[in-house]
Amino acid sequence: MRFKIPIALLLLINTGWALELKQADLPADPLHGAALFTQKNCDRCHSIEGKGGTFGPDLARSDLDRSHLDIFAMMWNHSPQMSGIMTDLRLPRPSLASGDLTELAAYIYYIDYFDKPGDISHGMRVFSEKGCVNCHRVGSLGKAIGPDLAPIKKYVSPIFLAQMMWDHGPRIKAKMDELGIPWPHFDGAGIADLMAFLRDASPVTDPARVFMRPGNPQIGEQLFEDKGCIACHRVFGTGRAIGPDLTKSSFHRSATSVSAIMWNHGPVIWNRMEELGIQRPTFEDNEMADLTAFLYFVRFLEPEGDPLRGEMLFRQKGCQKCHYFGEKGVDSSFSLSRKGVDRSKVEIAAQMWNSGQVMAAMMTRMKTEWPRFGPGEMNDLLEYVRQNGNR
Amino acid sequence: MERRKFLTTLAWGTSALTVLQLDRLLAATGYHEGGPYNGPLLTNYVSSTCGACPGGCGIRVRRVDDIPVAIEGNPVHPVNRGGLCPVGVAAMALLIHPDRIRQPLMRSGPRGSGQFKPVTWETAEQTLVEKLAELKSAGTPEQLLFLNHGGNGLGAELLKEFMADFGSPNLYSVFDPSAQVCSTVWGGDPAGISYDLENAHLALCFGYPVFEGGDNPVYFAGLRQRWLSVEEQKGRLIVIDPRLSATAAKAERWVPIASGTHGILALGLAYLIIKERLYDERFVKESCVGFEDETDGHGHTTEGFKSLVLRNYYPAFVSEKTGVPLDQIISLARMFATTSGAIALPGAGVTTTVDGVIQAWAVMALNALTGRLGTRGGVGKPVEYVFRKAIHQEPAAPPLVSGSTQQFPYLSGRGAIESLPERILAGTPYRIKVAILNNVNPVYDSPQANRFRQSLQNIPFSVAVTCLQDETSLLADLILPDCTFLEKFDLVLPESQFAQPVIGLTHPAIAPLYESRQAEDVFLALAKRLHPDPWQQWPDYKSYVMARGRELYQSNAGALFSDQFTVSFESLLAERGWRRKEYQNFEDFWEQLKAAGGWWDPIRRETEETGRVPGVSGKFQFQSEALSARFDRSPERLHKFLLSAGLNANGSEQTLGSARLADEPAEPSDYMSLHLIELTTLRGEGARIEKIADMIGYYDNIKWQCWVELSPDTAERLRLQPNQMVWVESPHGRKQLPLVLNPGLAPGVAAVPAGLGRVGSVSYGENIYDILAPARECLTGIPALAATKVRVYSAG
Repeated sequence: MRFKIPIALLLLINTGWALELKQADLPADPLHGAALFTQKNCDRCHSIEGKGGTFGPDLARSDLDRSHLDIFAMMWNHSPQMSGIMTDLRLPRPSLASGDLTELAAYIYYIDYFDKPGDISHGMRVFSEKGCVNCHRVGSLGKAIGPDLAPIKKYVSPIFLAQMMWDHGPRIKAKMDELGIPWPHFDGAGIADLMAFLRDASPVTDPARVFMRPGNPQIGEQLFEDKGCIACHRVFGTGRAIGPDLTKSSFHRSATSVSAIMWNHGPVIWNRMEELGIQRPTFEDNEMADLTAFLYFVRFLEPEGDPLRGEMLFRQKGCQKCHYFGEKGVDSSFSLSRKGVDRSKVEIAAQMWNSGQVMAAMMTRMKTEWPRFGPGEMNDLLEYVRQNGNR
Repeated sequence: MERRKFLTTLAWGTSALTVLQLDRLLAATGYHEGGPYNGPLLTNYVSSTCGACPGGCGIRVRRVDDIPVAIEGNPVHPVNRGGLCPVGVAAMALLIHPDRIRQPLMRSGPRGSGQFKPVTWETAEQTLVEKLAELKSAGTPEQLLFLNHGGNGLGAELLKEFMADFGSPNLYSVFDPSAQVCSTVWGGDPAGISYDLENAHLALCFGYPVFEGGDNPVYFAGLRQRWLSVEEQKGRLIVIDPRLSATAAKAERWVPIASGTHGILALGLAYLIIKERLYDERFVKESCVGFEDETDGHGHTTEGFKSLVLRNYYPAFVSEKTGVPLDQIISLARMFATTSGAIALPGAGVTTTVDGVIQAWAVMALNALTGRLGTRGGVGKPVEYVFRKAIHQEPAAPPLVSGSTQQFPYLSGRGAIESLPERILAGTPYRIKVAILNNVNPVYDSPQANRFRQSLQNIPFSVAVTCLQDETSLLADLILPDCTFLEKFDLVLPESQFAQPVIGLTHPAIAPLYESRQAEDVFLALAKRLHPDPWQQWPDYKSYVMARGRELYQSNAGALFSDQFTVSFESLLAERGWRRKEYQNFEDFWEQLKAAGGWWDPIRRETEETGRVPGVSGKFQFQSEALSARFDRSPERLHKFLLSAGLNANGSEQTLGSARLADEPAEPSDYMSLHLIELTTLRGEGARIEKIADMIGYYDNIKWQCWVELSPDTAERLRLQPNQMVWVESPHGRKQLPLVLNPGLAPGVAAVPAGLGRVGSVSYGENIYDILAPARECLTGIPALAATKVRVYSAG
């Protein structure tokens, strides 16, 4: 006899596993920074999928699987070149408030979340090879065992398809087992291609379209708890370690890719949940997008910085040549101390950015190399500055 | 004069003019009554849409204390992106134009005498309602004729519903149906043609001076800038026209051509593209019909396009007919066929000939041969937003004019209007008793102006709705003062052959001046008084427009105008199925729409259909199924029709390449083609603005008058001297004009600007339409403006 944990009890347990992340650490609307991207003239040099300037790299083709402060480090590292180009273009060097920095970084980080448009011909192959054609009909293709997929025409985002597949997963699994069809595995592009094919093959002529709203990581975080994911997965040290620790995996991949991973592991997940007596979650409205956006942003958040390493970097990068803590210096503007002011690392980063032009000029005069930062270094340095500066 | 002194004088002069104009405006708005104006001088902007031409550019009206003082381009409007033409900038003058009709006027003297007396709006509306009610009660609503302007506002939709509800089929609008008919003939979408110029790399413009005479010069000028600014100078422009127009001067290449021979050149290019096997064989095989010869079951062979072209349009023949040198024909053909993203565009210089649609079909055949139909950077179908209709009703009576296989089988728009005088004067199939003319002026701009004048005099009661007094309104019984676009409220679909639907908001920058009322409000009030039920839902036209705006909001498609990067990013998201939620509710949407100036759908709705030939059949037809069906699939009937239209037909007419384009009727040797210089600035009300009049003839140093251009060779042959007065004479009249020598004009062509010689306080030059031949395009019936032959001789 299988022992099932009542749902009410499960919810009680769940509250014990509630994530300790501050919601404010996650952006509610990562695309909010899009306006800043144009206001601050970033689009004059950088493009996204070929749209925008050509002086800088295309951000949709850059490796941006980095944390918030590592993205800032990237901006910092190219600051002298950027200033030079902006001077040539007669554009002001952008100054950034701490909120601006977070929004801009979140926006840049979010670009890879959106799948590329699907390939219809590849989608047709997927429809056939994955066995969908054995049960579903679209247009003149396929069998009418499962639902007709023609009405899918109006849904533009492939996440809708991923969400539908997930919600009906167990029934699909049962039927596939009955017909002896192996469980199909997808990658993100496969689902996008399949969706593109289904929409193309659908005979529906109604031009109405339904779009998915870009996922909200804050809502996604809540869903991660509410849907019981936390009952098996750990994030930032919270949750049970039955399934993989999601902080250790990179979900900096498109929304459909993340949902494809869920789908591929679907039968395993559903069995395990049944064993644990946890209700299998289904998704509605924008939930799949929100959940995948949360997972996508897990790596965006900074782990705790290492102040000892930060101190080492402070010396290594030459910061100590000009800056100090306390009031001993000649020019107080070089002091990094702000007594009684609890500045966050992002606030310090914004101040650092805004003084970049002056700093570059001074460093040129001093014939000192512009300090560049590798992965994690900015986090450690700023942690050191924060802790010492606030004393 | 010293430079400094000149500039100082210029600055003071401009300031004085501005002050004077502002002074008149202040007086018109009533701000001036209490002495010198002394307001707080707060500046704000209203986003709206320019109504000076159908182009639909976005504008921002700068206002000081809510009084409009200047018009600027809206930088986020996708049509003009901040640019504006001189008419748009100068259009403020329309508000206080001396010819502006200030209150309703009733005729008090004989027709055409110009004697009117002011009446109240109540009297005017009551008179019109009574006249219409009489028709309705007599059971003859079809005796109402409505001529509407060619604007693209929602007013056109309102009028369709009004006329449907009233029961008259006689609503005609001044639009050029050539693109729709051409598309129908080759099997494309009956809605017409759109060009993906943003992604094209070469535009071959046949008779299409896009910068000054196209549908939207500002759009094309901006497009040209974008083409030049991107890497490798992505876009190139080649203009094929008899005259070195401003467009041709800015293009990479100008190809002078004999007037009316664009189709022959297109088929000559096709000859080379086929002969050198530069055409897209796969596309032609899979997506075209009638290219190769076909033999039916009875052994009867129909000659295909390929054979016909190779037999008839060899380069030497084409060069002789068109005047284009052989080497240019060869290089054009090779360049067009080998440049990816090259498209051929037929313009008014092609379609306003007797066989205009067939010539345009020949130009479109170049796009088909090279596989540029339904591709990125190619030719597609227009993607317009279609609003729901509130009133569906088909009038019982047949329309006064409709196409027939004897004459003009695809009669519509401007073509149908040209057929009206004949029917009105003959009283067949029924008499017209009431005519409403909404901002149209056929008595000025039709080659059959006299017939229009007679037919208007034949109608018992006619009403002109207009902002400025013009030739047609002088013949009306009642004149209703319309607002300028700066006082109107509307949603406008610009005419710019966009590959995406674009809808601009026209928002009043000032309350209607004098006693003017927006025409659409008047028609709505009229509709309510005649048949209240279906119309009560809209208290005024603004509510009608907002109801359509709600449709836009509910469609959940597209986006409001915004800067280019945001548009690109939003498009990227939408293409992938994502959309940011921008509006809390309709009110929020509307407020944002007002600020942005409009809505558009930057993602082509037909994205999924790219790669397919637009149209029902999905194939380009070198053998026209539509044309054949129109003549009951009888080659003899089609043959007879073409002969009656004066075309050279040879028996397999539904196949492009055979139906015409050969011999011109013999003319006396001293006659030459008359080429009209059609400038957008001289269309409609723009020509009546003083500042615009000042600009005309600037390059030729001819001010405030009309002129005729000849090439130096032609002038020498005719023994004429520059600047001397000459007669330009056609079989239908003559005009005395000063002669200008233009080396940028093909030999054997006389060029004269059109759009001058209007009535009113800003009257200058001669109306060249007076001497045009009443010839018409054989399929659409629109005036064949390029068909007139003239001779030029000394007036002294």
